[in-house]
Amino acid sequence: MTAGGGSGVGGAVRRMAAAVVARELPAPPRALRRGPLRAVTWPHGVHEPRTALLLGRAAGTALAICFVTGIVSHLHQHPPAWLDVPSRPVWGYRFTQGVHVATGIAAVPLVLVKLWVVYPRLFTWPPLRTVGHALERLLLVPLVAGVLFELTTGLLNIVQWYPWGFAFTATHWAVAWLVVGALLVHLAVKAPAVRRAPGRAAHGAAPRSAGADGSAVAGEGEPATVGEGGPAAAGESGSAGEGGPAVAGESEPATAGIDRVSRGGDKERARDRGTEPSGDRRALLLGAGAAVGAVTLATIGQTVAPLSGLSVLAPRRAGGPQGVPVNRTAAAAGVAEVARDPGWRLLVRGAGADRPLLELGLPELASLSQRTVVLPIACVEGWSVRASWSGVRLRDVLELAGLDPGQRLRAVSLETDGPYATSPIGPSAARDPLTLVALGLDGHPLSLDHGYPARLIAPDRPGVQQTKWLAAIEVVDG
Amino acid sequence: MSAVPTPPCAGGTPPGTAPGPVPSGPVPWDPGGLVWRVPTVLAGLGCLAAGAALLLGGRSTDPASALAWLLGVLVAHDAVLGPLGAGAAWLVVRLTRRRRGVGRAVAGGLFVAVCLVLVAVPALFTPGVAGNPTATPRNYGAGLAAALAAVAIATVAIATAATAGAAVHPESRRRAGRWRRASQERRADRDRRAVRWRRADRDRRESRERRAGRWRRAGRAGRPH
Repeated sequence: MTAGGGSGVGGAVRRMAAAVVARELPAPPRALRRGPLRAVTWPHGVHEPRTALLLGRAAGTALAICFVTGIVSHLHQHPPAWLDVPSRPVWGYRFTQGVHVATGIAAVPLVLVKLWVVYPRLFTWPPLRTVGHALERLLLVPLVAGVLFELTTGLLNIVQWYPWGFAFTATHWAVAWLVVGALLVHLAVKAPAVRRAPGRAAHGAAPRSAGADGSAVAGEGEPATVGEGGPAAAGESGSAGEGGPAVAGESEPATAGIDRVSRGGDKERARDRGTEPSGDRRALLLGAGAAVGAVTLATIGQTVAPLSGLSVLAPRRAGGPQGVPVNRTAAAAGVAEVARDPGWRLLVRGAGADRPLLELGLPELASLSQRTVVLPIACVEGWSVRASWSGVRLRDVLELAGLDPGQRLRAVSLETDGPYATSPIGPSAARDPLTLVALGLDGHPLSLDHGYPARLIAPDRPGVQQTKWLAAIEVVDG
Repeated sequence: MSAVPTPPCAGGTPPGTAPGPVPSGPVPWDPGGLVWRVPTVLAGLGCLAAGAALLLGGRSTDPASALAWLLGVLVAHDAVLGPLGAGAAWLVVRLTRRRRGVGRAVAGGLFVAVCLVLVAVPALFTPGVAGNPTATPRNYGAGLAAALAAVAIATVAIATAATAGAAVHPESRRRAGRWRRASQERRADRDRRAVRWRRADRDRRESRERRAGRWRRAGRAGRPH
């Protein structure tokens, strides 16, 4: 990695890797350098490293929040055998999924601004300088495409619009790993550039060996993040006429900037280099903040009820039958007939048993000890509503059937099709006194669309797993 | 500056700038960077592999459709949204050259508006779920119009404040003064350059004429130059 450091085999391998990634690639003919490929096309303004760094941090933080909350949601919906998903806090899923969707929406402006700041780098010349440079640019394809894909599919999913052939959840989950992988490598590659970013250098950090340090991964200790600081600075310091911005654009702006700042200390130059906030950058960051605020206000009402009036673009709002929105109607699930069958029975089945341990019709369920709990129903689409549910505790039903709630259980719906026809019930949920086989909502019997005759309702659980139109509670075999 | 030989195409110092502090001799060992960067790269590659496996090996992920969408959104951004943004930025800068505060307010307002439109588009055009009035229950066209109107009002207010504030607020006045002085300097600089250019032009013309005269004189003397 470093020319002087490291010895023996490790050092040799590092030197070899450094040599490979630093190998130059043939430059395309200059005649091809037209239009946006010319540095003069992107002369001034906000396309500079410090701004890219600040926005990269903001967008990266948003993506990290989305990733972590996404993992939480994934574990809820596909719990591995060893994991007992906790049923507390009651508002857990409501919070994490609300944050997931709200952060994803807020990431739209952040990602757009970040990409705008580095957009001129798309037209960098020569397109591929070295092997390392080529690898680094290749890596940007999964990163940028993946981020845009996640935001787009997420935005379409919250309005239940699926104009594609893939299953949303599985693909959103897979691409999330692509994005995180590409982002991690991107961070490691850009680390030397970040360390050399002008804002840091002005505070006394020496440029160190960053360039050589970057050589093993980045290739050639490449300019910080955006080379466009070069032409802008050169132009404004009055040297534009001497060599043209094209030459300056290919230089190493970060290091050059450090030198100038540390020598001159001139405020104007510092501003050019990005160590002093410029009016343009301040305006850009304020604009990004305003856009984050605007899109958040316009949608957050589906999670935070008091803001519902302002959220003119929220895909959901509190309300609907019995004050709670519906995701899947009985008609869509194809259960409108069977659910109304007066001969309906809730079956409780043990492992491998042909005959159910227990059969409960509506009158039997109503004769059991009734509870009323106030629980939020929180959907993967980010909306959530608190409601008052009444019914029988699941653990009472299990006790009556002689089943151990510590077993792997699942709820089975009358809906036979689709990924949510059954849902796993972990031991925590099964034992939780707030977990109900609900018969009523808001003081009335469940409406058909809310899962009549009975549905599962449990704390800290995705809405799609609050199985409606219950047919059975059973032990999972194997 | 790198200790690895900088490729010629990336080399060269910007004119008017001193070269950066090039470390001479062996570059110091930087274990701090290595210790986390190498594992980060490895973890990243692992995540990339996991994502690719999930995407290509999943039963329900339909890789062809997913890849089409991945590339589609990339092209939509890089080849449509990007150039549109560049064009809009160029136009705003051009139209508000004299009033940067106004230009910034307008650019910011446009950006907020575009973000709102992008977030609204799915709700506006979703085919919806038949028989479920609780999905996308609002009038999103009206909602978007109201939001855009609010953004327009805020933009006008900020632009007005940016123009009027310069004359009222002491700090803004100071800033305006600085800006005026800077622009005066720029103008003077431009004038000086123009004078220099005219002078150089005249010198060039004169020397050309002198040369031509010499040539003519030489021609008359029967001796080619």
